[in-house]
Amino acid sequence: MNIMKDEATKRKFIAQLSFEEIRLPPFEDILILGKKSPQGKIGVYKSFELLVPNEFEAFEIEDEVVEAVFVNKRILKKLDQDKIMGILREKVFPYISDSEILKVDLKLRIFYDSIEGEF
Amino acid sequence: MELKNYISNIYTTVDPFAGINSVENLLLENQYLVIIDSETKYHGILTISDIIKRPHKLVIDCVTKKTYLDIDDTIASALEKFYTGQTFVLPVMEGSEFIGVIEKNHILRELEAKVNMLYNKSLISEKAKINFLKNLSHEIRSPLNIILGFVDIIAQLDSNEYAIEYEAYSKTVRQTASHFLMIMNDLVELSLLYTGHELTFTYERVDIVEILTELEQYFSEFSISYNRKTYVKYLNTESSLHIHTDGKKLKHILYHLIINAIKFTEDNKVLVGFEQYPNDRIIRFFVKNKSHNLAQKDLQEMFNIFEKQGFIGEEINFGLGIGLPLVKKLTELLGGQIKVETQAADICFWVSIPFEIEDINHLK
Repeated sequence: MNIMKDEATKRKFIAQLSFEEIRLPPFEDILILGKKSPQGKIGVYKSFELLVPNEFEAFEIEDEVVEAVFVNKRILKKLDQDKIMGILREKVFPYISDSEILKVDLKLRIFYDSIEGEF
Repeated sequence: MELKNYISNIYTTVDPFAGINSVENLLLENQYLVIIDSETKYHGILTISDIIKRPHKLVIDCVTKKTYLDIDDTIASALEKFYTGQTFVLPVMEGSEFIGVIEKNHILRELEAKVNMLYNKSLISEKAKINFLKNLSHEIRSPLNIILGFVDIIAQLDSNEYAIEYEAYSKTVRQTASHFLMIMNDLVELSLLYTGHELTFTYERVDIVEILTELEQYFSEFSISYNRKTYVKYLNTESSLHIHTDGKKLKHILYHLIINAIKFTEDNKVLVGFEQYPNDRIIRFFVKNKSHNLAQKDLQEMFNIFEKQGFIGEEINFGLGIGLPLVKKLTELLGGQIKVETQAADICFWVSIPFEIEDINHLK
């Protein structure tokens, strides 16, 4: 009887297991913080400084919805901040809500129409 | 009212990198938290409205920018900052250093108390002015009626046949006219003082024994009314004592103090005299009498213009309420001080008058 009882109350579990590589922070280019997002700009900036020191620049934004934008300095080397902010204001800000944190992928390709020179 | 009187150093602090969920209850209890880090650096003030406006996870991310009060701000400019900042608490800075917080309600409570106090005082002043105008009529008409009445009688008297009455009535006319003149002079002097005009002082070598003896003599012949005779007793034994001061103003001061004492004395005696303090270069005159119990409030207000007791015992206290305020002003203009002391039923006015160093030679 005791054996049967033990078998009846025995618990089992099933788990699904998988793994993959991630990078921290989990984005590479641009992060946009909504005004009411759980993380604020100082907390996020501090975490960047701990995880990837000196890689991101923070910009405080005058906007009804957006509090701050973090831009990888790699991008800033190629495109100045006003141009980046202009693009974000036009193409991204209209779609963000104030409680969101949005990651933005911005792949830049620079090309020249023609390069002339003398031999 | 200076702003620094409202600065509080008692407040609850919080670390800037504390999680909001760990300080919510503390914030609800205190209404605000001062954000100070482990190196005692000030970062701002966190209010409940901050976490509604910026619901982040960290304290430092939630705090909104607020204006601050400068140590040199006035109450008015501080209230303006509270109003424009729409906040109930502001930090106070001295340069870049945080020195405390001020709560708007603290200032408002004190202002309310001040307004109530001033309002009550204005009501009292209004009442005092109305009483003054009522008494002015009495104080001016009474002596004039006495003078005119006795002048009429004197005119009808045969000076040879009624020599004694003639002399007595003439004396009454002189005394009443003299008292009337004193009232008018007081009014003129007070109006000059309260409109910012300067009184002229004539400093000379005066014999204070002579002044006090004259006053004793004057009041021995003078009845204030109240249907009683009061004895003014000069206590000092010196034959003379000279100081350098304005003798007329000093006599005026003592006159009013004695009149006041005569009005209030319970045993019909007034004691006057002085004490010498050569080392302090001060002479302290005193006028003492036994008096009805004076409330502390009366002692504080007796030097306010138009303030006077409505009754002396059960009798109406006539008078304009200008004597003691004038005495105080004159004493101060002579560089002196006046104070009143009470002990049991005794009340004593002390007037300290400074004298020049050269007067020391004349002091005993």
